[in-house]
Amino acid sequence: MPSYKVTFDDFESGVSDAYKTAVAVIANDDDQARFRITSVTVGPSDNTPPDANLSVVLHRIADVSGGTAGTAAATIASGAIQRANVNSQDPLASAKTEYSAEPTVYESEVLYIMDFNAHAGLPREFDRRNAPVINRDQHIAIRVASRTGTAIRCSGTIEFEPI
Amino acid sequence: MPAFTITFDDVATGAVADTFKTIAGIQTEVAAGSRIRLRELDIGPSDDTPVDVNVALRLKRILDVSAGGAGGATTVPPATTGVKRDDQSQDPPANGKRDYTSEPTVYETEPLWKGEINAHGGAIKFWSEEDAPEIGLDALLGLLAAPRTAAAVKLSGTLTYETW
Repeated sequence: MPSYKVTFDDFESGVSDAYKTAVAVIANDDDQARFRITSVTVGPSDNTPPDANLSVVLHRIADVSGGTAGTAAATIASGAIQRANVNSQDPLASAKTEYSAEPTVYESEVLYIMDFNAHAGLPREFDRRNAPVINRDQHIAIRVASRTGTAIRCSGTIEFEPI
Repeated sequence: MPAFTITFDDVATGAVADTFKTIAGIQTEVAAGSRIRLRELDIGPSDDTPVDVNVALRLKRILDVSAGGAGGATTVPPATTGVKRDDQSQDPPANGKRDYTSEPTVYETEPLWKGEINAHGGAIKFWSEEDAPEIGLDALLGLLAAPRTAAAVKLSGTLTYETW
C-alpha cells in the first residue's frame, strides 16, 4: 500500500481559538479517489517556546467543488507529493499548505481535536480501521489555533494512503 | 466496521478539588442491537493560560438511561457532519453528549478506567477490541474529569468509538 506524506514548516497558528489551515489533502473528483489518514504529527517550532496551549483539529470539506476552498501558499500536485517508496504511483490527490485565506466551507463538526502545551508535541497514529477517510472531491486539513492571543509556530506532517 | 467520534472543545472541569464533572459521553439508542465500544481517547489542556494542576480522569457507565438521572447536555446526533470518520458509512446507534449543564446522578459506583494528567500535558489512550469499554442499548459511557486542587482546568479532545 503506497504511503504519502505532506509537510508544513514553521507555520503560524491562528490566535484566540481561531483556526488556521496548515496543510490539506484534497482527493480528486474521481470515483477511484478514496484515502485514509494514517498519521498526523504537529510540534512547536518557535524560536522562543511560549507556555501556551495549541489546539489541533482535523476538519473536512465534504464537497470541494461546491464551495470556497481558500487560498494556500503552496499547491503540491499529485506527482510532487512525497511518498514512502519513490516508485509508488501518483495519488489521486493533491495537497495545499500554509493557507493565507481560510476555506469557508468546512463541516460544522471537526473529525478530531487534541490540545497540547507548546512545550510538547503531538505524534498521532490512527488505527487503519478508525482512521479519518477522505472521499472523492473532499479535503481534510490539519488546522491549528493558539488558545491565547499569541500565535504559536508549528511544523509537522500529514500521512495518508489509498483505500 | 465504522468508526465515529464525539469531540469536546474547551470544556471546564469544576473548580472543587476531587469533584468530578462529565466532560463528554456517548449514549446509545433504545433499540435492540445498539452497542458500541470506545477505542480511543484523546484529551489535552486548552486553558488560555496553562496551569500547573493535576487532573483525574474517569470513564464511568450508566446502564439504564431511560430510568432517569442522566443529566443535561448538548446532544450531537449521528447524522451531524464530522461525527462519522467516513462520511459514507452508516449512522451509529448512538448520540454524542457534551457541554453538560447538570451532572448525571446514576453512574455505576466503580469507574471502568482511571487516568491522571497534568494540565501541561495530555493523554492519548487506545483500547484493543478485546479491552475496549463497552455499552449496550440505552446506556451512557461518560468521560469525567476533576482537578486535584481547587482550580478549574479546561480540556479538549476526542472520543472515538465503533459498532460491532
